Amino acid sequence: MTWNFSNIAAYTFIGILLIAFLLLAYKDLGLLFRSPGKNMGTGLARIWAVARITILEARAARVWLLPLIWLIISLILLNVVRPFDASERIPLYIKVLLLGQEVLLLVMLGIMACLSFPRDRERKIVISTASKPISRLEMFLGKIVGFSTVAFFLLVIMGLLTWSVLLLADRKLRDDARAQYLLSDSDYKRSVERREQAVVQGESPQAVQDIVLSPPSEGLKRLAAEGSLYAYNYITVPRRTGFSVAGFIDFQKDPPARYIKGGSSQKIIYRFPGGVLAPSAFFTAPVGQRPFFFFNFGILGQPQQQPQITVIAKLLHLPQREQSITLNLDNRGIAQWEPERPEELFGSEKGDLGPLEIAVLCPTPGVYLHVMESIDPLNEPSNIIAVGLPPDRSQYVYAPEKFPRVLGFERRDKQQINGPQANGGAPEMAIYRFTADSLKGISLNSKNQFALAMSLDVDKAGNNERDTIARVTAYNQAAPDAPSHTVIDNIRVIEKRVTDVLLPGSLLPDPAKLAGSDLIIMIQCATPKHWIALDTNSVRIELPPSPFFVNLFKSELILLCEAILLIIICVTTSLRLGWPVAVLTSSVCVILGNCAEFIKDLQGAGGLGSLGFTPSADSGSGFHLIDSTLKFFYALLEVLVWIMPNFTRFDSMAYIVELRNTPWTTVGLNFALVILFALPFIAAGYLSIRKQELG
Amino acid sequence: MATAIPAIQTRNLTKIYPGFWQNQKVAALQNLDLTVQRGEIFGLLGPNGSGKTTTIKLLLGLINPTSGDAEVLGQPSGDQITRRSIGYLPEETYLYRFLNARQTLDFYARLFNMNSTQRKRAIDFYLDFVGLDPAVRSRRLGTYSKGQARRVGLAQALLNDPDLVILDEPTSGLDPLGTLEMKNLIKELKRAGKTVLLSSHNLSDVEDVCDRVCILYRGKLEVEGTIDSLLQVQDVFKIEARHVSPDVQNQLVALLQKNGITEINTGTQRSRLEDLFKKLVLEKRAAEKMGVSK
Repeated sequence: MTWNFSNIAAYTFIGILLIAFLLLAYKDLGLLFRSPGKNMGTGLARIWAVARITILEARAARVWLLPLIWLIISLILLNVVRPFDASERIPLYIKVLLLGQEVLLLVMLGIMACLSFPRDRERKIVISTASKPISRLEMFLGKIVGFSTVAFFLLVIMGLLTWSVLLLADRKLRDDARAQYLLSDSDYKRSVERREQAVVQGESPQAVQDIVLSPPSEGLKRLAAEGSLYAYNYITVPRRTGFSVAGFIDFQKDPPARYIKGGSSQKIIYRFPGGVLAPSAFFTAPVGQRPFFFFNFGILGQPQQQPQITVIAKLLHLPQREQSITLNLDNRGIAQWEPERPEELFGSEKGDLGPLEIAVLCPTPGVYLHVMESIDPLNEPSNIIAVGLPPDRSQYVYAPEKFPRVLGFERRDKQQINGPQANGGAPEMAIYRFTADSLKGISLNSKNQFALAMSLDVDKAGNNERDTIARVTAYNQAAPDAPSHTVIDNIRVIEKRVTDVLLPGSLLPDPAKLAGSDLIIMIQCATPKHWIALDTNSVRIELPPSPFFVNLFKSELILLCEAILLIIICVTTSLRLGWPVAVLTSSVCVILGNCAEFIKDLQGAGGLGSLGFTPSADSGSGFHLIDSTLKFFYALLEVLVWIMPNFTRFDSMAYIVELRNTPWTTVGLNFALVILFALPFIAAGYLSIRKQELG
Repeated sequence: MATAIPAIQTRNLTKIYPGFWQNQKVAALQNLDLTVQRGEIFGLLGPNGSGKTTTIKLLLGLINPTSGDAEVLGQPSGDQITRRSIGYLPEETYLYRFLNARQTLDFYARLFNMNSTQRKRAIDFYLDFVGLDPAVRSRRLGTYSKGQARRVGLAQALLNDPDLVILDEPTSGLDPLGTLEMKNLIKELKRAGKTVLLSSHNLSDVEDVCDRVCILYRGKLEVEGTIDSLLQVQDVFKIEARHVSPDVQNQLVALLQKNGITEINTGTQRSRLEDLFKKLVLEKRAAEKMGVSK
């Protein structure tokens, strides 16, 4: 996190609020945990007394109808939604069921929490309660605990119903898959018999070929046998830098060198972090003396034409401001680019605009460009250097990311690698780099092997009768030479099901020497005209799975965190405001909390720049006035956003829809976040009610 | 020997309600100096808007004074720990409508840290004590008559066996019989050594039970003292007797005239409607209890 005016202002405000709270509430806080004598007890008991009444209030408001309404709506939706593939049905059901819970629970409990205290005040019940030995803090916390308990019970009920629905759905799915498999198996056997008969009867080869043999899907068989209710535990590669593709790898080099293929969609993505390339550097000098990017590529192959690269530059937080150019590489593989119209990329901003991403493609067929791993850029050549930076044009910056990411052809959010080409070109490769320090707790079998799990998709452009075969090559970074590779051929890819490959334990890093011992896995498609589709999580090292029910429970706990946070906001806003204003204010808090990242980015985009208006030399004073006003408004919004809880942090579906076990640390982190985000609200609530006149 | 700390003491207690624009201020209470000793029944009298309820709310810490201060049972008003020894019956019954009588009292008993046995015993005792019909105890308060709700309100005020009982219009909504029971109850509280602060419009009730009273008018204390000292009329002599024949009455009047007393009012004693009502209802109830209907 970088410090700026907005977050400093927000955290200062929160700090003052918390200090004021501690100074003024120390007596009330003390009474929460100590009993001053007869007829008093601790404050916790009084909080629970108020909470019990709140639970009864919710019961009287017929909150128990919520699971029923949710179930009816969900069952209707489950009958309407159609997944792309049968194996995606359970994840889709989970999404529908959890999303329904989230929406209904938050709306209903939010409104009830906003209503409760104003209604007590209007009906003057608060007078009777406040005349008893209970502090305002205890009354306030009692409401929060009460509604949170209601949320917990509702989620328990809805969680059990979700579990039941998913069990039934899984059983039906397995039955359907079994029936479908048996049908296609009998069709296949019949086709084989017909083909054999056709051969025996001496029919023409064309007639024999016309009898299509489509083997039954192994995926269906596995689905019927295993079902879909799993919570897998696995080690994956780092999200951004762990997965890439390559056109070719030269193992003769140390470290092995990656190449992108000319004329393909493969592109190298370099990322310069925010602040390194200050936009002002591009404006302060006249054209010709501005900073420029220096490109240096080793070239393989014999091109028919002069090799070119296409450079696409964009700010990560403002992807609409993209600038691209095609450059010729000289015979040493060198080119340079000075952005001619930097304002198109950077707008009128002079400050830090966040990370800059530069993608490089090679449009020239027949060449391969060397991807230089920026492991030691000062001593080794680097693909890209920003040169001529201020103050005296002598500064330069390398793309600081090691192992720049290479991506290729993408379809439905997955990278696709092709099989052997008709022209003899090498098949593409998907490369997974497991960092050495993540490879812990892996169990080995009696043959000292561990399981690599692959969940791959298949796209067949032809050759439909053949299975898709994958080839896996594995090595440890510490021993990169080809003879030490483990190569497993003929792996039959079962679409959307997990395929296990056993690898020798010797590939795992030595715990005593982790540095430079990453595990590299490379996947290739060995079937011509077939594509294998994969993403970051497609190849992983599996650990023993966890019970699905426990995983569902964890998702419900994350939902509970979100509900508790909303309840705290609603009760806080309702302490001094009427319920309609409290509902409105809470809704604004939730909206701001859900748009936190967007609003923070707005601040970086400038004023009118964020709306797509770019200043020019003849922009009038009116333009600048509106621009400055908008910037100020965005700054205020950003301060608010920093104070508000970031609701995007609570994602109950992040793991479970991938049938992946949610780590307990994630659940714990969510609870910690609730406390962290709630503290300013509790402080503000207490300070607002502390001296409130209840009569 | 240390002097006993008064149950209630206010010094220059003032409450001014600010208007919305801060220019329409209302002085609800002005410089109130009041002392209520322990063990006495003190009546707070005054017309509507005189500041009676404001005084009570200030004593309970429900609202904040503009100036001055108040002490209750020796502690600053509004002190959380002191409130464990106070019972308060508001002018209206402000209770949760979705709870029944037992749940309501259970909630308040929990605030006094009573365990389940204590709660059950106290709830049963006070519901009997205030005379709430057992048949309605499990019904939601929303379905109660005003009198029934008032009895639950009174039970919650007494639940903690308080040292100081503050009753704001305690007889409001009660039938004459309930009023009588309430007055008896207040007297019983005094006998038990409790201090009672009573605010009421019903002057006869106050007169019947209070040791001392004060009268507020437009937020100012107009008069304060014992009932006897305030109501005693020094130059009027009164005799009450039963079965006095007209002859004897005439002789008495003649004797007074003979001694030069000219302002003489004579006549028979007239019963109050309240007494007649009580007599009738009590007789009916007694008959019902014995299974006889007239």
